[in-house]
Amino acid sequence: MLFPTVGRKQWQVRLGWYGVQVLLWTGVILHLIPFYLMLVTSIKPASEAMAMPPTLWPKEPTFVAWRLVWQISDVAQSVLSQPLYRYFLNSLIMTFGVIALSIPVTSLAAYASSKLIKGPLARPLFIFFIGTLMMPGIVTLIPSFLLTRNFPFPLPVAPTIPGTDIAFPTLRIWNTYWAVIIPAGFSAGNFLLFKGFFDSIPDSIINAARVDGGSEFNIFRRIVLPMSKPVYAVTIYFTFGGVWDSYLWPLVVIQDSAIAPLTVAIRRITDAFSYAGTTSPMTAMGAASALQPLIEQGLSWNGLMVLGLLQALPVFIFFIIAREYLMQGVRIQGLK
Amino acid sequence: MAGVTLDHVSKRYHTLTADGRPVTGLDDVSLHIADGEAVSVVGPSGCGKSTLLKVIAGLEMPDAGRVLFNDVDVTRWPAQARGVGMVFQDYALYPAREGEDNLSYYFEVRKRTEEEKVRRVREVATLMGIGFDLLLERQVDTLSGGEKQRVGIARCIVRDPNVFLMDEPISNLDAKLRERTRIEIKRLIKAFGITTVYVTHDQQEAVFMGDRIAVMRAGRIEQFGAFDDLYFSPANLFVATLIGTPPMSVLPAVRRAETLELAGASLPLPPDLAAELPAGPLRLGVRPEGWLLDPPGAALTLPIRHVERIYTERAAYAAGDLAGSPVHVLVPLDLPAQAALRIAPDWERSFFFAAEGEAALRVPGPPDLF
Amino acid sequence: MAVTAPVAPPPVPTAEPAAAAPTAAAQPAVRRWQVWAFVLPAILFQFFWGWYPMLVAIFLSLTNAPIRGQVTFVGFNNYARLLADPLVAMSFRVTFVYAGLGILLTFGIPILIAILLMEMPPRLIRVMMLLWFVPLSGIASTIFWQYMYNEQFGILQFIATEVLGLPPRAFLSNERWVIFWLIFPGILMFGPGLYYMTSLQSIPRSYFEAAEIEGASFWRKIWTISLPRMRPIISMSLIFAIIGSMQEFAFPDLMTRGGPNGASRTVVMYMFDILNDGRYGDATALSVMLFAVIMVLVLVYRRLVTDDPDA
Repeated sequence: MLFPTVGRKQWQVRLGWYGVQVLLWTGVILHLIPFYLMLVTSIKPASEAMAMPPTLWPKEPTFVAWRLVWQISDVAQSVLSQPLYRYFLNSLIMTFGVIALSIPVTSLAAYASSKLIKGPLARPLFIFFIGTLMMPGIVTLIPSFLLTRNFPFPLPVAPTIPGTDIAFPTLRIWNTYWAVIIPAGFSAGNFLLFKGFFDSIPDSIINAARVDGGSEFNIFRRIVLPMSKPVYAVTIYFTFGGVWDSYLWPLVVIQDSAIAPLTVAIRRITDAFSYAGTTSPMTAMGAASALQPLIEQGLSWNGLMVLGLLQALPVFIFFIIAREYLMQGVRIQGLK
Repeated sequence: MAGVTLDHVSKRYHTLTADGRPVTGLDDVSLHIADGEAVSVVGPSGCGKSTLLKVIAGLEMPDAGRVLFNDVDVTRWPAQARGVGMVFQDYALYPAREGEDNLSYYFEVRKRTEEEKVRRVREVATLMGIGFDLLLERQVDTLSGGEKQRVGIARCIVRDPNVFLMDEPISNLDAKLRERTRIEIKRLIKAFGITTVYVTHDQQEAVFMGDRIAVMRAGRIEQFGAFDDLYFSPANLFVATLIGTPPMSVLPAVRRAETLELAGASLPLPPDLAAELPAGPLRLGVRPEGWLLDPPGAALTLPIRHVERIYTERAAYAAGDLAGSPVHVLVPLDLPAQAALRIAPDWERSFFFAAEGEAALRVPGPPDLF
Repeated sequence: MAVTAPVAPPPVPTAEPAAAAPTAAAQPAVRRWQVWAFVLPAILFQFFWGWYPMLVAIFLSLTNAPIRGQVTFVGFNNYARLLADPLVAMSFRVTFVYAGLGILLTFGIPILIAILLMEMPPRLIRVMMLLWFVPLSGIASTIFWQYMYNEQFGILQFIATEVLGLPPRAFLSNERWVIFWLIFPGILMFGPGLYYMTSLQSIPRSYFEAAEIEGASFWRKIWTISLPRMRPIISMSLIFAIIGSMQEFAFPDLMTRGGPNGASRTVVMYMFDILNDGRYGDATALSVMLFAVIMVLVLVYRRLVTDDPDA
């Protein structure tokens, strides 16, 4: 309580209080402005989307951009080889795949680390699990990429079994959905969140359930899971947002544009429209010319805003559905 | 139901306390609890009493020694197989479940029939008294501390356990509720006649709950016996000072021939006592009721610091210091205001300990009631 | 009457039949295999996709790492080549400026906002947090900011010229200012840090009440109560901020593609360019160099801030 509880009527205290309120509301509004502007721009005609001065509300609202965006794959095969919904679907498959794999794997390990493993092994295991958080993820990018080619060999081509011409059997997940899903099977960040939560469950509850006769797994499923919904909501939300937005890794491991995620597809479209500096202007020009028919029909920044909103939509929906649990999960109630 | 035997059980922890010492476990503990007996385990915090309970419950595996239920070696049995019932200090109710579902988890995991569960829950609800079935319908986070512990106790007895294990079940409750729950637990223990191990840090609670009391310190059992044994025949200085409120006064003294030199005075010793005690320095222990007021002959002068009057018990204790040690003396409630008391130890009720270490040289033993 | 042997001998154990034997047959108390079932999948994933690639990276950086053909050990040749490359030095310079300026300008904001937000009544905190939580995905915000920064019709240009009356400016295509403008959205979109809020929550109210009785001022309470209590979490966040901002890639790559003239090309972006040329060995070596630099930064930081060994 930084503001005194008594004497709030003094003008200095009042002024400070309202000052803080104004500052906080400014932050909230600034945070919401992009949503508004993107929405408004997406229903402007092309000329108005690029008009100076910008308008706060379109003079003639139109859904032309919303319609034209879906035609990109028909008109400009060189930009998008598949219909837009296909990339949407790809992103959903990868996102749910990662959630279905990594949330159970990570939470079970965090639970064991918090409640089952005591003794001298506990600390090294904990370091093993979170140590990679300290390391820049970028170092593992290339080796991981090579691993997707010929797991477990970090080589583009699998070595041959000595004395023969037969290559070692390897797991090849490169250029499949699995290349995004499997490497994300364990999340050190989520591990910390889970462990923090499980640590807050008193040991005595687990012990009570043991005395009642529940096996360790049954205790986890019947006693711990029901009380852990908030932390699952938060970790699933973070994972969802993270995978849905992931761009670099899919770019590296997915070559076939038919299974590329939405982020990569959107990047190709924005490149085609690119106005900012580009490393290969020729490519962009070519792509832009492929988009020419759509541009003539009224596609411009309004279309990019549509893409941005489409990209933001699933995370937004998830947020709406899970908001109660999310707020519980972060347990914000004000000062005690 | 079962008698419980611990046979040279040791348990070490690998974790360290905040100041870097290993957490106390158990150090060669042997204990036999007869079938149907209620035993209290008392000791300061960190003495290993909770570990003892966990070893009996099967929640901790001892490094050495055996745990026997009757004559069955259950050392390597997990908690799941031992059929004990346990009540916890923090209630340990399953938060995502209603009161009744807390009781039924036992039946769920053991694949018992629905009828058996319903019957048992109803029986227990009757046993727990009026209004208990209302608690069972409520979400556990809406229950008060006392209500939670009642559900916790019901969860413990619903299974008809071999052994009741209670880990400071009432220390989180407020004073009035503590009193009530204490009586309720005692009633249940008596009603079921089940072997009970009751862990507490409060010696009065231990006395109330246990037929016998085990006093623990630093992972060892210092003494195990009925209250009178601990009170009148303490095994050592630690037990002597732990049991009894206000605590026993312990004063350095020197035995010279027929006298005891104490706090600057020289008190004559009865001949048989003098013969029994070694010459030289020792320590004298006297309980508040073991002082004679205004004795004839030689006496000590205790400057009174304050008099604590406990009107509910019609008693008063005068407190002061002798030779640097605190001394409490039982005095009449209507003791007139005065600066000092003339007192002398009643030799029949005095304890003697070695000057170094904690060994008891002579203890009075339980009073002869005849 | 006086008894000198105080301890009664322990009673003889009763020899009753094993009526106590419960449902299950004897099984070992150690539930080791169950514990392994909980952690083994995570151990495998964490080893093969966490630690193993780390080791491989160091190994690969010392080889030619060809796309096909024989792997040959080339010692520190890759590193030597990188050190001779002026673009590497430039990308490190860009990264240092980007990370340093970014942390300087944005790191403190969420701490302050979290402290201030906790002053609001709980209902208001809920509403504000809910609105603040509304997610804008990374790609969407990139598109939005590209639009904002457009030099012809972007809203920032409008504000600069029409509202503030300044001459038109080249935002992302100005070599001197491009990094600032890349950081600017982070300043503008300020909000409270979630972890700071949870750590603030654990401060007992009585601390502030005691300070109030002592007559402590608003800022003094922040300085003597809130910040010290948040110190471990701030310290940890700073380490992650250093690690994260040294690896900046997606936002600048999507906003500027490293331009103009490499003025916003970070190490990771340059590494990616090398990778696109098929120079795996060089790219890995560059990533290991970056890793070493980050580790040095983290170690220096830990040396300077010694209070939380477990962070």
